[in-house]
Amino acid sequence: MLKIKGLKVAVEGKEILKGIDLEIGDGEVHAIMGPNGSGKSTLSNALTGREGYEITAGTVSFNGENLLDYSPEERARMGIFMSFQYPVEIPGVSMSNFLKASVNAQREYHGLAPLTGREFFHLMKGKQKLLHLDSGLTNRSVNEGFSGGEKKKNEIFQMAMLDPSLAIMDETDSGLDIDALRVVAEGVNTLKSPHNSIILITHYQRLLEYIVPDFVHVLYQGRIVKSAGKELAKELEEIGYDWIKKEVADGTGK
Amino acid sequence: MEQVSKLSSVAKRFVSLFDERTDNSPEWIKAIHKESILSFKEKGFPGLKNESYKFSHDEFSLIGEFDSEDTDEVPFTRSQLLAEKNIDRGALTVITINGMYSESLNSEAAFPEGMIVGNLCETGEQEQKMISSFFNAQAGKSEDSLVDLNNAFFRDGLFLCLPSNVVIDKPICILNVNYSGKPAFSAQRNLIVLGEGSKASVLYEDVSAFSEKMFSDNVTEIFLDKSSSLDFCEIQDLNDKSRSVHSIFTHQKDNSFLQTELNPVRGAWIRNNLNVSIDGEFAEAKLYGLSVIGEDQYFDQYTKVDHLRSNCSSDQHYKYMLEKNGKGAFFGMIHVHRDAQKTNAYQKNNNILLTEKAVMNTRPQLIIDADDVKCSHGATIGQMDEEALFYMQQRGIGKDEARMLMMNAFAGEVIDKFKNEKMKKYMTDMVTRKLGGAKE
Repeated sequence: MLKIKGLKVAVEGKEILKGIDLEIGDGEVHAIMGPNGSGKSTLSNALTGREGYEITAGTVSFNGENLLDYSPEERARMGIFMSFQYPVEIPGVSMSNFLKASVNAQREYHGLAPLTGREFFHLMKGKQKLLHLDSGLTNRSVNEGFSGGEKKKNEIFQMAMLDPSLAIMDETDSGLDIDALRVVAEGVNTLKSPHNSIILITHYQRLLEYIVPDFVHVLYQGRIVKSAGKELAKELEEIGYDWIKKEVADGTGK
Repeated sequence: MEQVSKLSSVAKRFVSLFDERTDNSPEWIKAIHKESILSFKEKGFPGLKNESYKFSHDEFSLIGEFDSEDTDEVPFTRSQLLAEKNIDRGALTVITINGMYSESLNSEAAFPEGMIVGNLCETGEQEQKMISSFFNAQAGKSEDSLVDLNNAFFRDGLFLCLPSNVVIDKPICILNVNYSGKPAFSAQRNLIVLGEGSKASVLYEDVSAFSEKMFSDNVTEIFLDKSSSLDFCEIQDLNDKSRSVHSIFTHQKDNSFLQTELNPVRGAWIRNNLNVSIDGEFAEAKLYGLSVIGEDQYFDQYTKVDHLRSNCSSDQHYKYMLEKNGKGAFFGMIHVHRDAQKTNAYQKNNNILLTEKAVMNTRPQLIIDADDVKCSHGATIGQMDEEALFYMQQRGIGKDEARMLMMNAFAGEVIDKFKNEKMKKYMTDMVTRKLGGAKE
């Protein structure tokens, strides 16, 4: 699905990612963990094509396409979805207009006719039911006045509507109480399939108790310094990142 | 002569134009002309020190050359003029040419029972009485030299009146055609009077028809008697070379309701001076405006609200989107006078600069001399929210479409407040039309 090779990314001339290699297969869940400032968000921004993230070296191939050649909206239409750490409020733009534009842009890209109002409504109702979401959210402006938990649930709802092949969950657990976290995690688990892959970017192990990763990677100083199975997350939670920092300093990592 | 020498060369040209003209007006108008040119000579055009034209005084030097005054003769028929579709006007259209009611162009029109419409100078005896009590009652007190200039030059104008208890549900469109075969100055005049309990919705559509460049100085006086209600909307769609100053004076009595929707669309410089005088209890004024200001356009809104009596409310909301080298100005003043207790007065002006070359000046002001009032004012100048733009792109929405969604949402907040459905539709389309081609 996704192959990242030697990816280097600079922000305002400063190199943040210093050579990332990562391969994600169909249906896999990868957790990317690491201390603050290690480059986790830079990776998600670079993959989604955000302005200001300059790719200085490396390649990213997504289902055989050179991802870096495409604009942010094209990448989204190709099936890359990011759940934002801080979902943006867009006053005056209704959730349903926003989602309709979004779903139909994706359909157009794949040569499909736009959904009629009725079809769209049914799709929306169906996904709301699937995720046990409050239908009131769709009558409001995008994220406007939503609580932290509502915003994250709304991200999962959008993910359900767009059915991406790769979902990048950027610190989805931040700012969530345990109940909201459970709802969000259940949503993600419901949407998981053998064809869809997930990147979980998180600082804490907490989320990984609900969404169990196949692989855990530790990002530190712009590099993946450790990769292992799900047990690595548990270890990190118990003893923190200091031992990894020490290993890197000693040159004994990997 | 001494005074004249202090005037700018553009102002001097107006004075000599006045001296050269033959004035065939009725005596009462001649008297206004003479008095007003003296006042104009004294003041000249607003200068650097004039606070209300602070951002705009340069515009007068740009009026440029013009040969003459306008004309009330146009080589078009009513159907030709109505064929120029801009907004859905509905069935009731009154055509004025350079501010003057045209008998020949309106002869085919069927106006509703109870509506009096005609030229100020050509109405019956009954109407003349009304005109003499209302005409220039507000404008005559203005300090603005543009009003003096208008008072020195106007030859006639539109009189629209609904005597007591006349309710006209359909919007009345006044299609004002600015036309001149050569560059010209045009002093235009309207008087709108609503008697007690009357109700109307007026759509004032100001257009240029195959015209050379013009400088129009328009003065509209509106009187709302007790319990009357008026929705006055305006679009100004002039040619790219034309400049227009429209000074509107409204005067409200007890329990009256006024809504204005002032929406400049096209023109080199369009200045609206809205002077709202709330002079009766339990009266309400809602004042709105919206524009996309495009290339080489300068739209300039001045609003002054005087709360003179208690228990009244006013609400202002003006929004502007500026693209390319568009320039805008907003000057808003609320004055709550001493006796205007229990006033609610609100004012908002929000602006979005879509390019680095666009310029907006805004100046909200509040003077409160009463102690039991609720007032607020606020102005913002912002840019396109890049975070929101990326958020939408990440959901597959193209950058241009995302931008349009956001701008329609921004405009929608004011459009939702419009009463006139045709104006709502027109302005929604206008935002899309004017911004549709806008790229970075």
